Amino acid sequence: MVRLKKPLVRRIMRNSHNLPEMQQLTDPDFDLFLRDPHAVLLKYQNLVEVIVVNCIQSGMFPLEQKRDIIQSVNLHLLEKTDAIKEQYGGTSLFRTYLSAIIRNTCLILCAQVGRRPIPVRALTEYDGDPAEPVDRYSIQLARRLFRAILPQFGRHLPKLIICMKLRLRKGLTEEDIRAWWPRCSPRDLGRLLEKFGNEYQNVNEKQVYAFVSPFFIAAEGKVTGEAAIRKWTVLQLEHIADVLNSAIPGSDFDIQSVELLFEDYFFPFLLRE
Amino acid sequence: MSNTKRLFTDIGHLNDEGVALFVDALKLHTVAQLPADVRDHVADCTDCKKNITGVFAVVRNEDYSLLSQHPYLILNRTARRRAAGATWRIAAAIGGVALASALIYYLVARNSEGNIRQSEHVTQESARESVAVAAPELAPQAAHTEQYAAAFTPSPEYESLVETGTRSFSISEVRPANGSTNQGIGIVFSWKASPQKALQVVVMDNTGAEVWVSTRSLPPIAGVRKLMGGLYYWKLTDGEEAVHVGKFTVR
Repeated sequence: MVRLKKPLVRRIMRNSHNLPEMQQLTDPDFDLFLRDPHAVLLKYQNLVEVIVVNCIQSGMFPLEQKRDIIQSVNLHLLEKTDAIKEQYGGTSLFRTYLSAIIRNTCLILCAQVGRRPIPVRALTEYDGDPAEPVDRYSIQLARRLFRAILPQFGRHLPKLIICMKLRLRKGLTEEDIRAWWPRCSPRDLGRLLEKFGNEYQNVNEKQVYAFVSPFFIAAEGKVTGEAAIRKWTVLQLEHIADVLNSAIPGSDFDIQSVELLFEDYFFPFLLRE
Repeated sequence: MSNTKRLFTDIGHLNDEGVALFVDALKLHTVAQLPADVRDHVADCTDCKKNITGVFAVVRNEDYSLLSQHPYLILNRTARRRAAGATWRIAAAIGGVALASALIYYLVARNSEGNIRQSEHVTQESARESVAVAAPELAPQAAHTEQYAAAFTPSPEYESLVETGTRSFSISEVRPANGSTNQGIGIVFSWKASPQKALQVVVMDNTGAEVWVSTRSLPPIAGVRKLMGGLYYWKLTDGEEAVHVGKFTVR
């Protein structure tokens, strides 16, 4: 358990939009790193190994090079000791910050070696049969990362949820609508829930967007058409695929596989690991 | 000027520390606590999402659940209550200083003027004391209200799971009813299942932290943990998968 010192006044006066003016909160691991970087690296050898193994599983390095890669990462970290001491500001956990440094080091080493990652089977090749020998690593990793990507959309997330539910013909909830359109009138809320509150598979895409377009205009306060809503949704799907492919080197996520991840997100028992 | 600048590179993207902070927030389900400019930038930046997701991928199996404190993020309701309690202590200290100042002023004024003027000062100082004692209460009250309200904020992740189930199970007549308001003690969990089998109740707060887990048994199951005011999600599980997800509030 990490116990950190914290001045009481600073903790109380912290504003969520600003960081504290002075860094008075210190991570004991960073304190140790300042005095004895070797001791911290020794303590975090398990973390280094976990990250290198992750990189190997994603195809960045062959398994037989594991020890060599770990040695190279350690050497790189020791060379960067001064830079780490200078650049770490104490806002995040030191171990997470070090994880970011280690991952970046692995990416640099991978680029230097010039290895082509082993392709990971795309999600759409999995037909949902739990009896089939499945690529559990791919599915488990994809689901975890997808659920980590969604919160990163921040203020766009409520709109993304609405657009994806409409695209996949999933029922909208009052919470969905209010999160996207806080000032939605009871009348508009009622109309949206009446039309889209339950699944509506028999409504085609054109009808869906034609009905919902005026509500988007009212919610966003700007003129937006059906094509713009559809285009924005596809763009977000492409972004998510792009992020997943970057996080899992060698993978081949596309719009269809991201849609499947959304289906799983809305109905979490769809993909059995 | 906001000092979140140290979380960004010269070209306006998150640096390693900014990425690490965001990953911490994802691991600890506290993304809403991040600085607004960090959240707003990441919402619009695919490159930063790639970096964040890449680091998250390598630490996804690291256990952060035992973490009690973080340099920036407030971790759980206990920590928020500690902060609220500390706010009251500071407010009491400020009130004490104000009271002492008023008393000194009163004593000085009493020594320098006549009885009639003294009674006027007493009246005025009493009013000041009342204001000095009352004013600090607004600050902790506002902070307490804000923290109390945060406990009712829906979780986007869990909201989408509410009232979902599994194909292999049929669940009906679930109590507490979805969205119901309950007292913090004595909540009884009941359901009808087909096939009927012993299930486990898991209750989570709106940050996803587990606050109570029952043993696996047939319904009804009485919740024995006193819950503070807030929004809670709960699931029935057979040990392998969640067969029902619901939510309720405690006031």
